[in-house]
Amino acid sequence: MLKLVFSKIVENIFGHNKALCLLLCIVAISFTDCRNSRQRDFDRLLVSLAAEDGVVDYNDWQKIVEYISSNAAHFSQFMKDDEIDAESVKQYISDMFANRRPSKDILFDGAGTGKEFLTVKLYLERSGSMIPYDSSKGRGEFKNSIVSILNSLPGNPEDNSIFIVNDGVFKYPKTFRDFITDKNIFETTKGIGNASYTDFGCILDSVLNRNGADDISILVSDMIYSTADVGVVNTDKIFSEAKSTTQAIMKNMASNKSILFVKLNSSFIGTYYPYNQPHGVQYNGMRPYYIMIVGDNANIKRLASSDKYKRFSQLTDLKGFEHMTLFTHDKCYTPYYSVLLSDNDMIGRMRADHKKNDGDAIHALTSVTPDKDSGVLQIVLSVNFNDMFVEESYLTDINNYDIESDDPVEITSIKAIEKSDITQNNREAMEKATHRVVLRLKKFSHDQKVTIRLKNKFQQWIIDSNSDDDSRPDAADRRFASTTFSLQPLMEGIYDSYAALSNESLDYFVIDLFLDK
Amino acid sequence: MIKNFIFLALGIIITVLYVIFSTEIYEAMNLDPAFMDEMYNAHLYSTIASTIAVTVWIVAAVYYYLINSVRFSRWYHWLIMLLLAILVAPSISIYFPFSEFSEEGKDYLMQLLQFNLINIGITILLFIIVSFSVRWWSTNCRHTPIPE
Amino acid sequence: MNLFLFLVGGTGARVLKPLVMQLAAGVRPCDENTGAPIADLQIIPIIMDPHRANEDLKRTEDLLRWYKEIRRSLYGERTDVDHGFFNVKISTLADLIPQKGLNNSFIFNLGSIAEKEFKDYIAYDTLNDANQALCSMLFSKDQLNTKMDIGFVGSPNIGAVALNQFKDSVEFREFANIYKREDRIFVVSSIFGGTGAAGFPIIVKNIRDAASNPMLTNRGDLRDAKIGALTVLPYFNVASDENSPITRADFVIKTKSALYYYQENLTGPKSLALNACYYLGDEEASVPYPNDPGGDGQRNDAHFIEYVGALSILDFISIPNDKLMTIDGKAQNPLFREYGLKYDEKNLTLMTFGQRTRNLVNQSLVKFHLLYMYLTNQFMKDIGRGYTLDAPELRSSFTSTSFYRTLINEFFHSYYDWLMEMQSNNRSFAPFNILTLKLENCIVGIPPKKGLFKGVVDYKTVLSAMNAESKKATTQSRYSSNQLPFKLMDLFDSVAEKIIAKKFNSIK
Repeated sequence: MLKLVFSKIVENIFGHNKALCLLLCIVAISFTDCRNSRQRDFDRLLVSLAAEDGVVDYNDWQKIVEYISSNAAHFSQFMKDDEIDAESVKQYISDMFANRRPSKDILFDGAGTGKEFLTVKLYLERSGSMIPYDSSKGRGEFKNSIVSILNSLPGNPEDNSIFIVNDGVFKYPKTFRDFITDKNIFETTKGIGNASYTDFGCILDSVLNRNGADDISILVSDMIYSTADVGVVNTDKIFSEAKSTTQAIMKNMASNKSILFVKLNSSFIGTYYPYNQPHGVQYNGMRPYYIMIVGDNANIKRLASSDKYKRFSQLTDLKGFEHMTLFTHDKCYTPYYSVLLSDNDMIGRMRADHKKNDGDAIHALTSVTPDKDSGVLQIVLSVNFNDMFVEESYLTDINNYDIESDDPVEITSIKAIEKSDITQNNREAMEKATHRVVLRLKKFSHDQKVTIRLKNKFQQWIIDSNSDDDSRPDAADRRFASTTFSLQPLMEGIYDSYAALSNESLDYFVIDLFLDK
Repeated sequence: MIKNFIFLALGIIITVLYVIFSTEIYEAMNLDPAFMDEMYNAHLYSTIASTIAVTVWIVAAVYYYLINSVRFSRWYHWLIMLLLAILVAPSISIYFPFSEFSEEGKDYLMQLLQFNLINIGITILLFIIVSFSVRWWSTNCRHTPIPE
Repeated sequence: MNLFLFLVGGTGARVLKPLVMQLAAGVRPCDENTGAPIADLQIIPIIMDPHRANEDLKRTEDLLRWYKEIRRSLYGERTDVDHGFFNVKISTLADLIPQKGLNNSFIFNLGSIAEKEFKDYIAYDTLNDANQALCSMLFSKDQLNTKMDIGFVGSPNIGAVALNQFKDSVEFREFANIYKREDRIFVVSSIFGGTGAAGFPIIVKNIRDAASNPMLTNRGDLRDAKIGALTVLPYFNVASDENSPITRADFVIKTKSALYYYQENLTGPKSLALNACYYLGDEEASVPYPNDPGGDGQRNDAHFIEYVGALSILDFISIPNDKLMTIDGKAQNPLFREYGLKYDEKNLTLMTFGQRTRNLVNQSLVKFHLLYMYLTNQFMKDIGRGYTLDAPELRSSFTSTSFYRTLINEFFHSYYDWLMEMQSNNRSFAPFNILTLKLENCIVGIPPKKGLFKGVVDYKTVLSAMNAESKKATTQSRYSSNQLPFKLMDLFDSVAEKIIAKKFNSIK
């Protein structure tokens, strides 16, 4: 009976128009949603792990790996040679959250690696002019800062390693713990390498080349470039050599490595070796020294945003901290920002365009009307500048911003949010942010997109910290206490390598606003 | 004859466009933004659009080719099939979000009902379009619901 | 091939009706040898009956007119149609030679006879006494006083004299002129009446003697023409009436003497005038017909014998030329045929016929009856649905076209009456159940085949099949907008064939 019914159905369907029925089947099959329940469950797992904090950390990753492993048959796209391909999983997660609402940049904090934490490789320059930073007569800022950096690292300290560098790179003979508790680090490492000469090219090369995907390399150095030929006293020649050395090394590294460059100062008691006085001069006073933190773009980003590296990333708290700058090709930050629809500085009228906005943050405005009398339109943004290796002074300097728009737009002020700024109406946007940015348009003629970039410039403090003559430590201007011989060309060599990667400007971040009438 | 194939092609194109641009279409309806975000994140728009499209094509195919009877070829018979599509397609399509949200403990009942009204409208529209796409090859219902 | 069909007397005209019905149903004679439909078949009925007021004659003439109208709507003047309803062309003599100004009628003009009494016709009063005395011997007083507009009222001796003018008529001359070698002639007459018994030998004789008629062209062909004849022996009864010259007892006597005469002059070895001769009769007497010696009243119910008579015409058409050879006016190996039923029953159906008849007519008759049922009971309800909406559309305005009105209001009425009369006669021939409105029991003795999912045959089955066929036709652009009647009939023809094959395949 059933067979008869079936044959009748088939006869009816296929008897009339085979081509059409086939077409219908294709349409039906192609429209059938292929997302199976495991895929949905996997997405749910990801949402539960990362939707809230935007971070997939080591523990999250273990759960993800466990889920994929136990359902391997359904996730062949993540498998490569019977192993889970971390990159494709990460890509999937990134894409998934990028396409979710609100979209999120996911930080992989120890995810996709065999280790929960980054391995730190500390490179300590042990040249003659470094020893006086750790003088027993000094105030100990130098040691203090290094130790607090090392102490702030999460994970097992013994996973990290220490190298001594001067004319070569040498393994520190004791343990990490020994290093931290060492009373005189330069005394302990005496006799390692040639302390009279710093082969900066070799050091930088080692730091970059030995920097693996899960590593962070930290170089502590006075950044004084010295030439192998002790007879050279032509500063121009030294500067040009310094610049070309860093440029040559950075050339192939700039695209995926970022360098966080920090200037600190410390008491210095002992012999200083100016470029033209091989026997040195005695100096007792403050001297700058530098920490260069090198890692893959993602790892440097991780340092800034991961809760686990929160302590480590508070570099401004280090004793003797002066400045920092991040050399990177990556537009590494995606700060939260939202237009404030209720603010005293707002001029004109506007509404949030909910169709275009992603989540709570308002990036798109509609019914934008400038002030009737003046024709001026003033828009106030709340922006979160946290979790960036960019100094407050740099962030709040309106000259560091570039704005692209059809009608001229200028930033009139960037100020930290104060408690008094927060009202009932703007609380949500304000509490997620750190700063208020006021944009001003003298006219608003048509619908347009406004793009604001925080440029990654070669920073003034490096120029200010540069000296082309370190032969007179006792000069009356006391510039010796805060400048470093050949710093600018050395750093320019690095910066130019990043700048040369593309025609586009180097930016820390880009934010877009959409203004519709 | 060419005209009939044009109608078929149009029906397929419109259906495919509906499924492809389901997100844009549904989001243009100005529903509750939070609800829309949930639907979007769960990829429910395309799932629902596919379900409605498949159901409508199946119901139309059943009417025009399987039933295909002179006893069931009046406009009001076609209307019965439309009602069936309205009953089936939005019901199936409400099932997905309902189960998804109930698993997550979210309550979007009102929004879902509103969403269902839109789906009923879409089903009606799509059924009319699909009917005009497939009817030409039906033996007994090719002039239903409206003669050429 | 043209078939000149001479229908002499009342019976001749009555045989024409079932012939027209069968032709309307699409019965198409096929060559006995090859089985192929006879090509370009055209039938030219020539009714010879002075009794013009005869109701049967009127009915037959109307039927022929309607047939012509309907066929013209379907196929125009084409003769190359070999299947479908109304496929055989029926024409008048005047249609074949329109320029000659002949009366456009199927009825042979016997005007000069009909207006006179017999004695006037032979100029009795001008004869001398001797001749008048001779006439008085040959003809009774009543016969001499018979006014011939009512025919020869069972008196072949009058008819033989009066009809002899046939050879001199314009119609005969024109017929002789257009006759071609491949054409055929068939004469239908009753042997027991007046007009038929007298007219039949005269017609045959005049054709065979054409060679000696100087007024004719084409004389050789006519002399050697292929001539067939149906002689109907007594089959109907007349109610006895003392005042009428026609009695049942006379029929037998007249038949016997006529047969002797025919043997001598037509069929016997001396004459060999006929290539094929069909004898038809039935011992089973019909329901008595009212005795009416002419006048306006002669309207007799159709009878099964006439139906068989019509079959003889179809049979004659089917005979291959090589069996109908005539040399010097003498038929070679003439054929003599009779007809027998498969079952000798009083109540006849389609299944009572022998296999040959069943093959020839049954399918067409059932098709036609299904058409009659559908158009009468359902078609109007189907307008605006399914196939009627396919281009060219059959809208309700179609039902007011002359084609549709002639078919439904005239032809089908006549068809119904014909079936009714045959059914109520003796023997009763009831192929269809004319009282039912349902298709499933409309064919007597043949219930439709049933099976799971097959369902009964009803008007929905027809509509569905029409839809399917029309869909095919639309794809092929089979019908143009001025072919609406043809579309309807042609679609139904194909559909009915399929329905019969599926549901009534035992009719053959």
